[in-house]
Amino acid sequence: MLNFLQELFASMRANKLRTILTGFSVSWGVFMLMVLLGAAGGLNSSVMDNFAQNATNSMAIYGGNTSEPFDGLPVNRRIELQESDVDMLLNHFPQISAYSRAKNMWGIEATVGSEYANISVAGVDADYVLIRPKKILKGRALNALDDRLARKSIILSEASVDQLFHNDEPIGQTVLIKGISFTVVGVYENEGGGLYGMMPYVTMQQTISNGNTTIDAFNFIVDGVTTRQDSEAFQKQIREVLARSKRFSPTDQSAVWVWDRLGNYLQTRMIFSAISLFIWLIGIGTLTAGVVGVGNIMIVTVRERTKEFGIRKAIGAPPSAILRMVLSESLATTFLFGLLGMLIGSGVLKLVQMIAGGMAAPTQQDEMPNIGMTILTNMHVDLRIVLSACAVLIISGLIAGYLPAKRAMKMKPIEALTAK
Amino acid sequence: MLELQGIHKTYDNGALLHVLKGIDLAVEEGEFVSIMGASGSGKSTLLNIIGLLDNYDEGTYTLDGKLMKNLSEKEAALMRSRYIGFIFQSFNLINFKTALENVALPLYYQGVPRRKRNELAMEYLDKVGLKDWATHLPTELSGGQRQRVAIARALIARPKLVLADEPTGALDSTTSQEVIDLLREVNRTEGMTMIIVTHAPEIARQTDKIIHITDGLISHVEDLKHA
Repeated sequence: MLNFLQELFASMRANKLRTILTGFSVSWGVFMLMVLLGAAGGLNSSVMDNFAQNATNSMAIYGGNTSEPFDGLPVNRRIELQESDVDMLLNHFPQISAYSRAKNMWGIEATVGSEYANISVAGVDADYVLIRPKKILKGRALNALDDRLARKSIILSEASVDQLFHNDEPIGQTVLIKGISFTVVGVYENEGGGLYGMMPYVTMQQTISNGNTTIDAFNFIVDGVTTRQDSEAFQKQIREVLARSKRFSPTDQSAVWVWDRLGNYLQTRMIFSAISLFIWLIGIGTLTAGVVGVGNIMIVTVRERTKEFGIRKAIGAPPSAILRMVLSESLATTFLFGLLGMLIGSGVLKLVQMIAGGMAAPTQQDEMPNIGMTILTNMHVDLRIVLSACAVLIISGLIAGYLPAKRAMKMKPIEALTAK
Repeated sequence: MLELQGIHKTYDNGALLHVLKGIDLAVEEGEFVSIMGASGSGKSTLLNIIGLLDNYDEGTYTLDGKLMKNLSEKEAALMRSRYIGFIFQSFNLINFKTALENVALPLYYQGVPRRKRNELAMEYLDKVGLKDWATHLPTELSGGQRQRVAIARALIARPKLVLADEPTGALDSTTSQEVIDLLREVNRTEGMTMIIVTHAPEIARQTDKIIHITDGLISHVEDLKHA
């Protein structure tokens, strides 16, 4: 084996410039493949991270306005969701495993001592955290006990806490809203910042709301829905049930708004698979150009070295030795230079990630995270890509070398010896 | 050592060319034989057939008691590796390998380990008087030196049969004589059978037997040893 390698590298060294030039095209192909796939991976995980913040099988229904006349009723009728609609839907669809009503009160005055802030408060059920998880920075989330006892608990966004408490400890303190005292039980992170708060839906109904049973949104998690078809079918059923009870056309898309995270998620994932496929195509294309180059050069090499092969055959080289020699030279060229391209590619990806990571860090609070930066920081080389690239390289090396090797092997020694 | 009976060879390069028209020849072990003839007479073709570099169309060829007919490339390579050493007019050294590596190459194909290979190669280079040139590339050597490297390469696997196609064709008369002296000495000390193709009478006259080929047939054989 060692003998064989020495023999192999001796002949590669003999054609240094040519080996390097040919090898370069392969390095370039692999480099491109790595960078493209790395970037695609970055984009993918940036967007998917976004999804990961919410339960992927969640849906939400909002009230809307009719856009089709129905049953003698006019167009542009307001359809509101009621608590009774929620009860009806829960009865109808046992696959709804968790839900939360939501009622929003915008810009209401909250005071702590002499500090005040206009915060927007949402009344939600305890399971809301399952549907739209919020990061709790201090204290705790709202829970089922808050609901059952209709406790006057409130959780506040970071910005609200800053404005109402400055640097004081907010947990356990009291906030006055519309003259009613609420106890701060937690602080949560709201993406994009802003003055917000949340309290139990039942508490809101008993205290600061006007008490009507209209809700702004019905959020829920559905079990057993995993594909787009499933989710579309489920959406359609929901619309039909609501249409029947609230008297609007089941085909009227704007009478109620259904927001379907799973559908969005699946669609986005499909788009990314397509992008990924496209990138593989480009990458493989570039690599193919490199491989064709290697094959081409190997043909030239074989032609040029015809006489040498003749000599080797005359002094006792069996045809298999010649085949092995050409094939392994091609393989070694593609593999070594491919590896080089892979190293440079991963190096560049790592470097970009480091630089972008350093730049992206300070922007997290005040503005929307810069998606471009996030893509760059999320750029990564996963082992799967490296391994598949290696496999592609080995196969390409063999393909590139096969025809030339076969030609070299088939040559009659006497013809090879007399070749010019 | 070897025996040819009724060997025919025809080349087809568009027009048919009947090169060998029934050669009968026997060479004994340890003989030092030359083949002479005008160019195009078929002497090189005959040597190539004996060396298993080319096949023949008709007749029989036995080498060391074995019939050499319809050999696969692999079998032919094995026979060459075990029995035959070649010396060519144009030396046919591999240009990117040093003298030592060139000499050692036949042993590589016999699977001899590198260390042993290089030791033996050095020994043979010493025999042809080129020990100090071991690390030189063929392009750094004179014609006579290159041919001596080629001779060392032909001998290193200790073949029973050495075939030389115009070994002095590219050399001046002094170097030619040195090369022939070297071959003669190897023949005497190692007892290897040697067949030399040449068109130089002064070279041929130093062998044991001259086989004259005219137009694809052996016209006559001069036995110099017993003359």
